Amino acid sequence: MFLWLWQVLRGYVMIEADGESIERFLNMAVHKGIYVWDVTHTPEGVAMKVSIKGFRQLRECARKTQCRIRIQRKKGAPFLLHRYRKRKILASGLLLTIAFIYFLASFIWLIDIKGNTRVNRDDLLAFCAQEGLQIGAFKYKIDHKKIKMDIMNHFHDIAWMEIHVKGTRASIEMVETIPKAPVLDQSTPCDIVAAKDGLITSIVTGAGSPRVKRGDVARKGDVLVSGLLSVQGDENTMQKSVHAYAEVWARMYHEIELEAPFQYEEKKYTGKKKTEYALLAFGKEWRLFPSGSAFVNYDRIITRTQLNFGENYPLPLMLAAEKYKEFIPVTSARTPAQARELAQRMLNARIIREFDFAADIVDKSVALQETADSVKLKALITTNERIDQEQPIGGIPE
Amino acid sequence: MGKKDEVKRSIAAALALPKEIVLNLPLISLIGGEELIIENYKGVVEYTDERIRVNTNAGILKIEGRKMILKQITSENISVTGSIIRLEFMN
Repeated sequence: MFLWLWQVLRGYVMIEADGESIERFLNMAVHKGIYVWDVTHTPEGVAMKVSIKGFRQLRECARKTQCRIRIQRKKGAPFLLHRYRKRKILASGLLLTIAFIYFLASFIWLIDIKGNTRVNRDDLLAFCAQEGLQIGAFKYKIDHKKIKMDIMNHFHDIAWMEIHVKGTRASIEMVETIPKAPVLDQSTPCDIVAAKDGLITSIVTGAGSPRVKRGDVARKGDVLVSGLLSVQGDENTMQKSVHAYAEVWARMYHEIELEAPFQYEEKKYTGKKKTEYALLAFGKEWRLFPSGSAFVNYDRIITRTQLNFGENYPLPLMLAAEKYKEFIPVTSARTPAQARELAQRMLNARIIREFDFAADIVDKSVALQETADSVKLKALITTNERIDQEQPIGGIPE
Repeated sequence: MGKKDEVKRSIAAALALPKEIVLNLPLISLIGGEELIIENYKGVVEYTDERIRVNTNAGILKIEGRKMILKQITSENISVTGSIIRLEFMN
Protein backbone atom coordinates (compact mmCIF):
# COMPACT_ATOMS: atom_id res chain seq x y z
CA MET A 1 0.00 0.00 0.00
CA PHE A 2 2.65 2.50 1.07
CA LEU A 3 5.05 1.22 -1.52
CA TRP A 4 2.40 1.70 -4.16
CA LEU A 5 1.71 5.25 -2.92
CA TRP A 6 5.40 6.04 -3.08
CA GLN A 7 5.66 4.68 -6.59
CA VAL A 8 2.64 6.69 -7.74
CA LEU A 9 4.08 9.86 -6.22
CA ARG A 10 7.50 9.38 -7.75
CA GLY A 11 6.10 8.19 -11.08
CA TYR A 12 7.03 5.10 -13.05
CA VAL A 13 7.15 3.84 -16.61
CA MET A 14 5.63 0.60 -17.82
CA ILE A 15 7.86 -0.75 -20.56
CA GLU A 16 8.07 -3.78 -22.78
CA ALA A 17 11.42 -5.21 -23.83
CA ASP A 18 12.20 -7.86 -26.37
CA GLY A 19 15.35 -9.28 -27.87
CA GLU A 20 17.61 -12.32 -27.77
CA SER A 21 18.91 -11.97 -24.24
CA ILE A 22 16.28 -10.43 -22.05
CA GLU A 23 17.89 -12.09 -19.02
CA ARG A 24 21.20 -10.34 -19.67
CA PHE A 25 19.32 -7.07 -19.96
CA LEU A 26 17.64 -7.68 -16.61
CA ASN A 27 20.88 -8.66 -14.90
CA MET A 28 22.65 -5.60 -16.21
CA ALA A 29 19.84 -3.31 -15.05
CA VAL A 30 19.91 -4.86 -11.59
CA HIS A 31 23.69 -4.64 -11.48
CA LYS A 32 23.52 -0.93 -12.22
CA GLY A 33 21.18 -0.50 -9.28
CA ILE A 34 18.07 0.23 -11.30
CA TYR A 35 14.99 -0.77 -9.42
CA VAL A 36 12.80 -2.95 -11.62
CA TRP A 37 9.59 -4.59 -10.47
CA ASP A 38 6.57 -6.56 -11.66
CA VAL A 39 8.41 -8.34 -14.47
CA THR A 40 5.85 -10.34 -16.44
CA HIS A 41 6.04 -12.44 -19.54
CA THR A 42 4.06 -11.23 -22.55
CA PRO A 43 3.70 -12.70 -26.03
CA GLU A 44 6.02 -10.06 -27.46
CA GLY A 45 8.66 -10.15 -24.74
CA VAL A 46 8.90 -9.07 -21.16
CA ALA A 47 6.97 -6.22 -19.55
CA MET A 48 8.21 -4.45 -16.44
CA LYS A 49 7.90 -1.33 -14.38
CA VAL A 50 10.77 1.02 -13.74
CA SER A 51 11.19 4.39 -12.07
CA ILE A 52 11.61 7.50 -14.21
CA LYS A 53 15.22 7.90 -13.15
CA GLY A 54 15.93 4.22 -13.83
CA PHE A 55 14.37 4.40 -17.27
CA ARG A 56 17.02 6.82 -18.54
CA GLN A 57 19.78 4.41 -17.51
CA LEU A 58 17.87 1.51 -18.99
CA ARG A 59 18.40 2.75 -22.56
CA GLU A 60 22.11 2.10 -22.27
CA CYS A 61 21.50 -1.45 -21.03
CA ALA A 62 19.16 -2.08 -23.95
CA ARG A 63 21.74 -0.84 -26.45
CA LYS A 64 24.49 -3.00 -24.97
CA THR A 65 22.41 -6.17 -24.86
CA GLN A 66 20.69 -5.46 -28.18
CA CYS A 67 17.20 -5.39 -26.75
CA ARG A 68 14.44 -3.09 -27.89
CA ILE A 69 12.41 -1.27 -25.28
CA ARG A 70 9.09 0.41 -25.86
CA ILE A 71 7.18 2.63 -23.44
CA GLN A 72 3.69 1.37 -22.91
CA ARG A 73 2.37 3.67 -20.26
CA LYS A 74 3.61 6.47 -18.05
CA LYS A 75 2.07 6.52 -14.63
CA GLY A 76 2.24 8.63 -11.53
CA ALA A 77 2.11 12.18 -10.34
CA PRO A 78 4.99 13.68 -12.37
CA PHE A 79 3.34 12.72 -15.68
CA LEU A 80 -0.03 13.95 -14.51
CA LEU A 81 1.46 17.26 -13.46
CA HIS A 82 3.23 17.53 -16.79
CA ARG A 83 0.01 16.87 -18.67
CA TYR A 84 -1.95 19.48 -16.70
CA ARG A 85 0.85 22.03 -16.47
CA LYS A 86 -1.01 24.51 -18.65
CA ARG A 87 -4.29 24.34 -16.78
CA LYS A 88 -3.89 27.43 -14.63
CA ILE A 89 -7.47 27.55 -13.39
CA LEU A 90 -7.37 23.93 -12.27
CA ALA A 91 -4.13 24.56 -10.41
CA SER A 92 -5.43 27.73 -8.78
CA GLY A 93 -8.67 25.96 -7.88
CA LEU A 94 -6.70 23.21 -6.20
CA LEU A 95 -4.62 25.72 -4.28
CA LEU A 96 -7.72 27.65 -3.30
CA THR A 97 -9.40 24.50 -2.04
CA ILE A 98 -6.39 23.64 0.08
CA ALA A 99 -6.26 27.19 1.41
CA PHE A 100 -9.99 27.10 2.14
CA ILE A 101 -9.73 23.82 4.04
CA TYR A 102 -6.80 25.23 5.99
CA PHE A 103 -8.82 28.35 6.72
CA LEU A 104 -11.82 26.36 7.97
CA ALA A 105 -9.55 24.17 10.06
CA SER A 106 -8.36 27.21 11.97
CA PHE A 107 -11.66 27.60 13.80
CA ILE A 108 -12.85 25.83 16.90
CA TRP A 109 -15.70 23.54 16.01
CA LEU A 110 -16.05 21.56 19.20
CA ILE A 111 -15.39 22.22 22.87
CA ASP A 112 -14.86 19.24 25.14
CA ILE A 113 -14.98 19.52 28.89
CA LYS A 114 -13.49 16.75 30.98
CA GLY A 115 -13.33 16.27 34.71
CA ASN A 116 -16.14 18.57 35.86
CA THR A 117 -18.60 17.32 38.43
CA ARG A 118 -19.53 20.39 40.45
CA VAL A 119 -18.67 23.03 37.87
CA ASN A 120 -21.70 23.42 35.64
CA ARG A 121 -20.92 22.67 32.03
CA ASP A 122 -23.26 25.31 30.62
CA ASP A 123 -21.96 28.00 32.98
CA LEU A 124 -18.41 27.15 32.01
CA LEU A 125 -19.23 27.24 28.30
CA ALA A 126 -21.01 30.58 28.72
CA PHE A 127 -18.01 31.97 30.60
CA CYS A 128 -15.62 30.67 27.95
CA ALA A 129 -17.76 32.31 25.25
CA GLN A 130 -17.39 35.65 27.05
CA GLU A 131 -13.63 35.14 27.07
CA GLY A 132 -13.61 34.40 23.35
CA LEU A 133 -13.40 30.62 23.43
CA GLN A 134 -16.52 29.46 21.65
CA ILE A 135 -17.60 27.42 18.69
CA GLY A 136 -16.54 29.27 15.58
CA ALA A 137 -13.73 31.19 17.29
CA PHE A 138 -10.50 31.71 15.41
CA LYS A 139 -8.12 29.35 17.14
CA TYR A 140 -4.94 31.40 16.78
CA LYS A 141 -6.55 34.32 18.56
CA ILE A 142 -7.36 32.41 21.73
CA ASP A 143 -5.26 33.43 24.68
CA HIS A 144 -5.06 30.13 26.57
CA LYS A 145 -3.23 31.51 29.58
CA LYS A 146 -5.57 34.40 30.16
CA ILE A 147 -8.70 32.28 29.73
CA LYS A 148 -7.29 29.69 32.07
CA MET A 149 -6.52 32.28 34.75
CA ASP A 150 -9.93 33.92 34.36
CA ILE A 151 -11.77 30.62 34.61
CA MET A 152 -9.82 29.63 37.69
CA ASN A 153 -10.57 32.98 39.30
CA HIS A 154 -14.24 32.75 38.47
CA PHE A 155 -14.87 29.11 39.37
CA HIS A 156 -13.34 28.42 42.75
CA ASP A 157 -13.87 24.67 42.64
CA ILE A 158 -11.13 24.11 40.08
CA ALA A 159 -7.78 22.98 41.43
CA TRP A 160 -6.00 22.48 38.11
CA MET A 161 -6.99 22.98 34.52
CA GLU A 162 -5.54 23.00 31.06
CA ILE A 163 -6.86 24.13 27.69
CA HIS A 164 -5.62 22.31 24.62
CA VAL A 165 -6.47 23.15 21.07
CA LYS A 166 -5.86 20.27 18.74
CA GLY A 167 -7.12 20.57 15.21
CA THR A 168 -10.61 22.03 15.42
CA ARG A 169 -11.23 20.66 18.91
CA ALA A 170 -10.66 22.61 22.08
CA SER A 171 -10.55 20.47 25.17
CA ILE A 172 -10.76 21.81 28.66
CA GLU A 173 -9.43 19.36 31.21
CA MET A 174 -9.75 19.99 34.89
CA VAL A 175 -9.45 18.54 38.33
CA GLU A 176 -11.79 19.89 40.96
CA THR A 177 -10.89 20.69 44.51
CA ILE A 178 -12.05 18.59 47.43
CA PRO A 179 -15.28 20.24 48.64
CA LYS A 180 -14.85 22.40 51.70
CA ALA A 181 -16.48 21.20 54.89
CA PRO A 182 -19.29 23.50 55.95
CA VAL A 183 -18.09 25.86 58.63
CA LEU A 184 -20.38 26.29 61.58
CA ASP A 185 -21.02 29.96 61.87
CA GLN A 186 -21.03 30.37 65.60
CA SER A 187 -20.91 34.12 65.67
CA THR A 188 -24.59 34.85 64.88
CA PRO A 189 -27.01 33.90 67.63
CA CYS A 190 -29.80 31.55 66.64
CA ASP A 191 -32.53 29.28 67.94
CA ILE A 192 -33.22 25.69 67.02
CA VAL A 193 -36.77 25.25 65.76
CA ALA A 194 -38.72 22.22 64.61
CA ALA A 195 -38.71 21.64 60.88
CA LYS A 196 -41.60 19.16 61.06
CA ASP A 197 -44.30 17.99 63.44
CA GLY A 198 -43.39 15.03 65.61
CA LEU A 199 -43.00 13.35 68.96
CA ILE A 200 -39.56 14.04 70.33
CA THR A 201 -37.58 10.91 70.98
CA SER A 202 -34.21 12.37 71.79
CA ILE A 203 -32.66 15.76 72.27
CA VAL A 204 -28.97 16.41 72.68
CA THR A 205 -28.11 20.04 73.20
CA GLY A 206 -24.66 21.33 72.42
CA ALA A 207 -25.35 25.01 73.06
CA GLY A 208 -28.42 26.97 74.15
CA SER A 209 -31.18 26.26 76.63
CA PRO A 210 -33.57 23.41 75.73
CA ARG A 211 -37.28 24.24 75.83
CA VAL A 212 -38.59 20.74 75.17
CA LYS A 213 -37.81 17.32 76.55
CA ARG A 214 -38.16 13.77 75.39
CA GLY A 215 -41.80 12.77 74.96
CA ASP A 216 -43.01 16.27 74.09
CA VAL A 217 -44.94 16.94 70.94
CA ALA A 218 -43.35 19.52 68.68
CA ARG A 219 -45.21 21.46 66.02
CA LYS A 220 -43.47 22.85 63.01
CA GLY A 221 -41.82 26.16 63.88
CA ASP A 222 -41.75 25.58 67.67
CA VAL A 223 -38.57 26.66 69.39
CA LEU A 224 -36.82 23.54 70.61
CA VAL A 225 -33.62 25.04 71.91
CA SER A 226 -33.36 28.74 72.57
CA GLY A 227 -30.25 30.70 71.88
CA LEU A 228 -31.01 33.02 74.77
CA LEU A 229 -29.28 32.10 78.00
CA SER A 230 -29.99 33.52 81.40
CA VAL A 231 -26.78 33.69 83.33
CA GLN A 232 -27.29 33.85 87.05
CA GLY A 233 -25.00 36.43 88.52
CA ASP A 234 -24.46 37.43 92.15
CA GLU A 235 -26.95 40.24 92.09
CA ASN A 236 -28.84 40.10 88.83
CA THR A 237 -29.49 37.72 85.97
CA MET A 238 -27.83 38.55 82.70
CA GLN A 239 -29.19 37.59 79.31
CA LYS A 240 -26.74 36.26 76.78
CA SER A 241 -27.40 35.01 73.30
CA VAL A 242 -25.52 32.12 71.71
CA HIS A 243 -25.53 30.14 68.52
CA ALA A 244 -27.69 27.24 69.65
CA TYR A 245 -26.77 23.81 68.53
CA ALA A 246 -28.73 20.59 69.10
CA GLU A 247 -29.55 17.29 67.54
CA VAL A 248 -33.25 16.59 67.91
CA TRP A 249 -34.93 13.44 66.73
CA ALA A 250 -38.68 12.98 66.57
CA ARG A 251 -41.10 10.23 65.70
CA MET A 252 -43.66 10.90 63.04
CA TYR A 253 -46.19 9.06 60.96
CA HIS A 254 -46.62 8.98 57.22
CA GLU A 255 -49.56 7.57 55.39
CA ILE A 256 -49.06 6.13 51.94
CA GLU A 257 -51.89 5.07 49.68
CA LEU A 258 -51.26 3.13 46.50
CA GLU A 259 -53.32 1.39 43.91
CA ALA A 260 -52.23 -1.46 41.67
CA PRO A 261 -54.78 -1.89 38.88
CA PHE A 262 -55.51 -5.31 37.40
CA GLN A 263 -55.58 -3.97 33.89
CA TYR A 264 -52.61 -2.27 32.35
CA GLU A 265 -51.33 -1.28 28.96
CA GLU A 266 -48.36 -2.96 27.45
CA LYS A 267 -46.29 -2.12 24.39
CA LYS A 268 -46.30 -4.83 21.81
CA TYR A 269 -43.66 -4.10 19.20
CA THR A 270 -44.71 -4.84 15.67
CA GLY A 271 -41.13 -5.08 14.49
CA LYS A 272 -41.62 -2.22 12.06
CA LYS A 273 -38.81 0.24 12.25
CA LYS A 274 -37.94 3.41 10.46
CA THR A 275 -34.91 5.62 10.74
CA GLU A 276 -34.80 9.22 9.69
CA TYR A 277 -31.69 11.32 9.51
CA ALA A 278 -31.18 14.98 10.13
CA LEU A 279 -28.16 17.21 9.93
CA LEU A 280 -27.60 19.65 12.79
CA ALA A 281 -25.41 22.70 12.35
CA PHE A 282 -25.30 26.15 13.92
CA GLY A 283 -28.46 25.46 15.89
CA LYS A 284 -30.45 24.56 12.81
CA GLU A 285 -31.75 21.23 11.69
CA TRP A 286 -32.06 19.90 8.19
CA ARG A 287 -34.03 16.73 7.65
CA LEU A 288 -32.56 14.35 5.15
CA PHE A 289 -34.94 12.37 2.95
CA PRO A 290 -38.06 12.98 5.06
CA SER A 291 -40.71 10.35 4.60
CA GLY A 292 -44.30 11.29 5.26
CA SER A 293 -45.87 8.18 6.70
CA ALA A 294 -45.54 7.92 10.46
CA PHE A 295 -46.64 5.37 12.99
CA VAL A 296 -49.50 6.09 15.39
CA ASN A 297 -47.76 4.66 18.44
CA TYR A 298 -44.01 4.61 18.48
CA ASP A 299 -40.85 4.83 20.55
CA ARG A 300 -38.40 7.39 19.34
CA ILE A 301 -34.70 6.88 19.91
CA ILE A 302 -32.43 9.75 18.93
CA THR A 303 -28.72 9.24 18.49
CA ARG A 304 -26.47 12.17 17.74
CA THR A 305 -23.02 11.80 16.30
CA GLN A 306 -20.51 14.54 15.75
CA LEU A 307 -19.08 14.30 12.30
CA ASN A 308 -15.35 14.57 12.17
CA PHE A 309 -12.48 14.52 9.82
CA GLY A 310 -9.99 12.43 11.71
CA GLU A 311 -9.85 12.53 15.48
CA ASN A 312 -8.63 16.08 15.82
CA TYR A 313 -10.80 17.75 13.22
CA PRO A 314 -14.42 17.63 14.30
CA LEU A 315 -16.74 19.40 11.89
CA PRO A 316 -19.44 21.81 13.04
CA LEU A 317 -21.98 19.22 11.96
CA MET A 318 -23.93 16.60 13.83
CA LEU A 319 -25.79 13.72 12.33
CA ALA A 320 -28.95 12.85 14.21
CA ALA A 321 -30.53 9.48 13.57
CA GLU A 322 -34.11 9.18 14.75
CA LYS A 323 -35.19 5.60 15.05
CA TYR A 324 -38.90 4.94 15.26
CA LYS A 325 -40.13 1.63 16.59
CA GLU A 326 -43.80 0.97 16.12
CA PHE A 327 -45.84 -0.70 18.83
CA ILE A 328 -49.48 -1.52 19.46
CA PRO A 329 -50.82 -0.80 22.92
CA VAL A 330 -52.28 -4.02 24.29
CA THR A 331 -54.41 -4.21 27.40
CA SER A 332 -53.23 -7.01 29.64
CA ALA A 333 -54.48 -8.20 33.00
CA ARG A 334 -52.70 -9.15 36.20
CA THR A 335 -53.88 -11.79 38.62
CA PRO A 336 -54.74 -10.52 42.14
CA ALA A 337 -51.56 -12.12 43.44
CA GLN A 338 -49.47 -10.25 40.87
CA ALA A 339 -51.26 -7.00 41.71
CA ARG A 340 -50.50 -7.50 45.41
CA GLU A 341 -46.89 -8.09 44.64
CA LEU A 342 -46.78 -5.02 42.45
CA ALA A 343 -48.37 -2.91 45.19
CA GLN A 344 -45.68 -4.05 47.64
CA ARG A 345 -42.96 -3.26 45.13
CA MET A 346 -44.41 0.20 44.47
CA LEU A 347 -44.51 0.81 48.24
CA ASN A 348 -40.88 -0.20 48.67
CA ALA A 349 -39.82 2.02 45.81
CA ARG A 350 -41.71 4.92 47.32
CA ILE A 351 -40.23 4.39 50.77
CA ILE A 352 -36.76 4.39 49.31
CA ARG A 353 -37.50 7.51 47.31
CA GLU A 354 -39.07 9.46 50.17
CA PHE A 355 -37.22 8.45 53.29
CA ASP A 356 -33.95 6.93 52.26
CA PHE A 357 -30.96 8.28 54.21
CA ALA A 358 -33.00 11.10 55.74
CA ALA A 359 -34.97 9.00 58.20
CA ASP A 360 -34.93 5.76 60.11
CA ILE A 361 -37.96 3.61 59.58
CA VAL A 362 -39.18 2.37 62.93
CA ASP A 363 -42.36 0.61 61.98
CA LYS A 364 -44.37 -0.19 58.89
CA SER A 365 -47.93 -1.50 58.87
CA VAL A 366 -49.51 -2.39 55.57
CA ALA A 367 -53.15 -3.10 54.75
CA LEU A 368 -54.16 -4.51 51.38
CA GLN A 369 -57.67 -4.36 50.04
CA GLU A 370 -58.92 -5.97 46.88
CA THR A 371 -61.57 -4.08 44.88
CA ALA A 372 -63.27 -4.96 41.62
CA ASP A 373 -60.50 -3.72 39.36
CA SER A 374 -57.47 -3.11 41.56
CA VAL A 375 -55.60 -3.79 44.76
CA LYS A 376 -55.53 -0.84 47.15
CA LEU A 377 -52.68 -0.52 49.59
CA LYS A 378 -52.63 1.58 52.70
CA ALA A 379 -49.44 1.82 54.67
CA LEU A 380 -48.63 3.62 57.88
CA ILE A 381 -44.94 4.27 58.22
CA THR A 382 -43.46 5.32 61.52
CA THR A 383 -40.14 7.08 61.18
CA ASN A 384 -37.57 8.65 63.40
CA GLU A 385 -36.19 11.83 61.84
CA ARG A 386 -34.02 14.75 62.69
CA ILE A 387 -36.12 17.86 62.99
CA ASP A 388 -33.73 20.53 64.23
CA GLN A 389 -33.32 23.63 62.11
CA GLU A 390 -31.46 26.86 62.76
CA GLN A 391 -33.37 30.12 62.88
CA PRO A 392 -31.56 33.36 63.59
CA ILE A 393 -32.68 35.63 66.42
CA GLY A 394 -32.65 39.26 65.53
CA GLY A 395 -30.00 41.12 67.50
CA ILE A 396 -29.10 40.87 71.16
CA PRO A 397 -32.10 41.60 73.39
CA GLU A 398 -31.77 44.18 76.16
CA MET B 1 38.78 -24.38 -2.93
CA GLY B 2 37.18 -27.53 -1.60
CA LYS B 3 39.38 -27.56 1.49
CA LYS B 4 38.80 -23.88 2.16
CA ASP B 5 35.07 -24.50 2.03
CA GLU B 6 35.42 -27.37 4.48
CA VAL B 7 37.20 -25.10 6.96
CA LYS B 8 34.56 -22.40 6.56
CA ARG B 9 31.82 -24.96 7.04
CA SER B 10 33.32 -26.25 10.29
CA ILE B 11 33.83 -22.69 11.58
CA ALA B 12 30.24 -21.85 10.79
CA ALA B 13 29.05 -25.00 12.58
CA ALA B 14 31.30 -24.41 15.60
CA LEU B 15 30.35 -20.78 16.07
CA ALA B 16 26.70 -21.29 15.06
CA LEU B 17 27.07 -18.59 12.41
CA PRO B 18 24.53 -18.39 9.60
CA LYS B 19 25.81 -20.55 6.77
CA GLU B 20 24.43 -18.40 3.98
CA ILE B 21 26.70 -15.58 5.08
CA VAL B 22 29.86 -17.54 5.82
CA LEU B 23 29.63 -19.74 2.74
CA ASN B 24 27.91 -17.15 0.55
CA LEU B 25 25.02 -19.49 -0.17
CA PRO B 26 21.55 -18.41 -1.29
CA LEU B 27 18.76 -18.22 1.29
CA ILE B 28 15.52 -19.34 -0.26
CA SER B 29 12.17 -18.64 1.42
CA LEU B 30 9.01 -20.12 0.02
CA ILE B 31 5.62 -18.86 1.15
CA GLY B 32 3.18 -21.63 0.35
CA GLY B 33 3.31 -22.23 -3.36
CA GLU B 34 2.79 -18.59 -4.25
CA GLU B 35 5.83 -16.56 -3.37
CA LEU B 36 9.50 -17.37 -3.49
CA ILE B 37 12.24 -15.08 -2.22
CA ILE B 38 15.86 -15.82 -3.08
CA GLU B 39 18.43 -13.81 -1.19
CA ASN B 40 22.07 -13.73 -2.20
CA TYR B 41 21.68 -14.76 -5.83
CA LYS B 42 24.01 -14.13 -8.72
CA GLY B 43 21.83 -13.53 -11.74
CA VAL B 44 18.81 -14.50 -13.80
CA VAL B 45 19.67 -17.10 -16.44
CA GLU B 46 16.27 -17.61 -17.95
CA TYR B 47 12.91 -15.99 -17.48
CA THR B 48 9.62 -17.14 -18.95
CA ASP B 49 6.28 -17.28 -17.13
CA GLU B 50 6.52 -21.06 -16.70
CA ARG B 51 10.21 -21.55 -16.03
CA ILE B 52 12.79 -19.41 -14.28
CA ARG B 53 16.45 -20.27 -13.80
CA VAL B 54 18.50 -18.30 -11.31
CA ASN B 55 22.25 -18.63 -10.88
CA THR B 56 23.46 -18.94 -7.30
CA ASN B 57 26.60 -20.07 -5.47
CA ALA B 58 24.90 -23.42 -4.84
CA GLY B 59 24.32 -24.01 -8.52
CA ILE B 60 21.52 -23.04 -10.86
CA LEU B 61 18.10 -23.06 -9.27
CA LYS B 62 15.31 -24.00 -11.62
CA ILE B 63 11.81 -22.90 -10.69
CA GLU B 64 8.84 -24.30 -12.54
CA GLY B 65 5.32 -22.99 -12.16
CA ARG B 66 2.54 -21.09 -13.86
CA LYS B 67 2.02 -17.38 -14.48
CA MET B 68 5.14 -16.48 -12.58
CA ILE B 69 6.22 -12.87 -12.40
CA LEU B 70 9.34 -11.28 -10.96
CA LYS B 71 7.72 -9.10 -8.33
CA GLN B 72 10.96 -7.41 -7.31
CA ILE B 73 14.55 -7.60 -8.38
CA THR B 74 17.40 -5.92 -6.58
CA SER B 75 21.06 -6.84 -6.49
CA GLU B 76 20.55 -8.75 -3.21
CA ASN B 77 17.29 -10.53 -3.67
CA ILE B 78 14.70 -11.56 -6.14
CA SER B 79 11.07 -12.38 -5.42
CA VAL B 80 8.91 -14.52 -7.65
CA THR B 81 5.13 -14.68 -7.33
CA GLY B 82 2.72 -16.94 -9.16
CA SER B 83 1.94 -20.59 -8.64
CA ILE B 84 5.16 -22.47 -8.02
CA ILE B 85 5.20 -26.21 -8.75
CA ARG B 86 8.82 -27.36 -8.56
CA LEU B 87 12.23 -26.22 -7.38
CA GLU B 88 15.36 -27.97 -8.58
CA PHE B 89 19.11 -27.45 -8.23
CA MET B 90 20.99 -28.26 -11.39
CA ASN B 91 24.72 -28.87 -10.84
